[in-house]
Amino acid sequence: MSTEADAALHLREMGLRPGVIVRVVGIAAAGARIVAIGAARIALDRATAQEIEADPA
Amino acid sequence: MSAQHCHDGPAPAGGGVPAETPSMPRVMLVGNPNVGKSTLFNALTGARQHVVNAPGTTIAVAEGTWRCGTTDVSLVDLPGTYSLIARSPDEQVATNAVAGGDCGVHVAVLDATALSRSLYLLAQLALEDAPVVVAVTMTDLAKARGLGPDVGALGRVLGVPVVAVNGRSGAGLDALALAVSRSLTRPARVRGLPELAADDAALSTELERAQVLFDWVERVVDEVLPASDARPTFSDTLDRVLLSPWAGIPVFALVVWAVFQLTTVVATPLMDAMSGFVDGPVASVAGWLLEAVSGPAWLESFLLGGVLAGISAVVSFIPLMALMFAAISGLEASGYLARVAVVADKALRSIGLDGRAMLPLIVGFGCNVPALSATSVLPHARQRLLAGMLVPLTSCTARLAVYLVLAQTFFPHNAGTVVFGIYVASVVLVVAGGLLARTTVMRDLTPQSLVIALPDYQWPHLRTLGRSVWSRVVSFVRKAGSVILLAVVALWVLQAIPARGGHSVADVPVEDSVYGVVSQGVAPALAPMGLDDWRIAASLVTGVAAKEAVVGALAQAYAVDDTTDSGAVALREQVRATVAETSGGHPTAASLALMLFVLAYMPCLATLAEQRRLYGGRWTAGAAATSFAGAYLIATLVFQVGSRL
Repeated sequence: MSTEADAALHLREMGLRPGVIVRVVGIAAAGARIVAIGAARIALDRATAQEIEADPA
Repeated sequence: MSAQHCHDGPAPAGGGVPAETPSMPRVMLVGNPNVGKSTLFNALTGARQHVVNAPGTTIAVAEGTWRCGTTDVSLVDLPGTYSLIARSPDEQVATNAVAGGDCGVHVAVLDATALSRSLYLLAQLALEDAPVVVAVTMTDLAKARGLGPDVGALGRVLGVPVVAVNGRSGAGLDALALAVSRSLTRPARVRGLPELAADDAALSTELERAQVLFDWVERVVDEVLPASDARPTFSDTLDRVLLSPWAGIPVFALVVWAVFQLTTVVATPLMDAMSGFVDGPVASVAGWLLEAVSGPAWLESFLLGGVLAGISAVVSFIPLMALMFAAISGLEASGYLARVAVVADKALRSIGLDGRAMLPLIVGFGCNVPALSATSVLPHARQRLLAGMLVPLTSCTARLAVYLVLAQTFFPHNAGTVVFGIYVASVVLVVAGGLLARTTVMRDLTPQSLVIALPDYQWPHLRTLGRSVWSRVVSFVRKAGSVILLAVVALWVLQAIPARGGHSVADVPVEDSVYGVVSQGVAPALAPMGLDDWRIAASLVTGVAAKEAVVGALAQAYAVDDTTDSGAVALREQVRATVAETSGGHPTAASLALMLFVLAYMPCLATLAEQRRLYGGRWTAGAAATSFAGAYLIATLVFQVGSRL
């Protein structure tokens, strides 16, 4: 598997899947984003967060 | 809680985890990290558990006996994973174990607060055609957020037994036992999963195959979760401070400082008490017994001066080690270490790692050996290698024991500050080592993206914490303890053999023994750092075997027999006098140089052996040589500059 495809799969495995409703609940040190998916919380580094496209609700 | 039964496990063999006891069915706990799997495991097995390495790895897997209804089963707590498409050695162990197919029932532990993530792993498990019982944890937390799953509906949708459990309170454990014992005779499999033929052309990539499972997960989630927006939680509020750009790092520094206080202020008196007990009452009784059987004089000297001194070194070190690991395990269980990974991510990125490498590096401050094993959480081999090479630069508690004596000797009024400074130096060395590696031998290393789950903050479960610390201590006494004991015994033998002066064996002044003569040969090399003394050289040579033995070696070289209070004072007086002389009147600079040298000159034998096993001899030797050269340069620089100030 290519690095990119693996990264995309890993994001989905962690719950960040196309179509899912996410809420940014905080911005942490060094621009990392804290994202809520339902009751779960996930932290993403800044560069990874920038790769994700989201439509505002 | 279920009854507990004694079980001596078989030797590990084949597959992903140790072989099944023929008479006992095997049950495996499978789940994401931080879902309360270990707490559940502890609640189910009680004291009847032990830790074994998964075959061919250093990854520890807990195995125990669970009284499940009327039958005993062998329960295995697999490493947490988000996926059966393994990325790290930890995850590979879980994946291999599931694929091994020798398991009666898999207990899939689902986190109610992260149901969709948990269900994906369950879907992968189901694809393996594995018999499954589902245990749902954290239901109270999910309910508090207005997102509690309907456990009954989940059971109906999945077609397998589903039980809500709480490893802390014990709720649901009897129902889980019942469900598992029934499944052993009538195994149930998850239903409703789409077929995933391996040769389906439309599903050519892992991503496309996974998408089919995600679609199934979404359908399940829709049926069992209420459609409501999550409420902000206490953890969210806390994270606003603990992860914030302005407070995150100061709070982390404060936590480190608090842990450090614990290991100095609390551990030191405990360590003194332990060694005082071995050197005092135990030594007296042993001496009295030896006199009663009237053995030869050398035997008495060997047992009291060699073996007992070794036991004292091991025993006195236990409180320090236990406290450090209690602190680290407690921080991990509380959920804070996951935040540390976020806060430290950027700094670690600058040396080619990412936030996840923080865990092994923090464990390194307890003991380097388990820290090397902890690198198995990292998904990439190069990252594991770099982290493994940097771990010895984290100052372990054995080195702390040396700093404590030196700081109390040379900086009686600022000992705490000086020791803290050495820890800062340790962090600086880790960063410097990473930068050096990245610009030389690891130019190909690119930082990976950091995507980590933030578990809810919670109070660590004391019993689970206690078990984890206990298993660390037992493992230390077994592995490192035997190395230390051997080192101290070898030391005694070298000290007993005369090299000159016509003395007889076991009746020779230390400076005339093989040990003394070799040390006198090494000592001039320490002159540039103001430490040209054979006794200091001797203790440093001993420190290569184990840093725990450095202070004992120093005491032996000065022939300070008792390390009781007056003995410790006598040792400090003598060391102070020696260094004042060797440094030409600049003992402060020389003692700082000595502490920095001890920090980085050489990992202990146990660490070197583990590094060699994980990364091979060339990397191990290269890293050790680089570290030694760095330590020599820094110590020399500190003394040369410090003595001119």
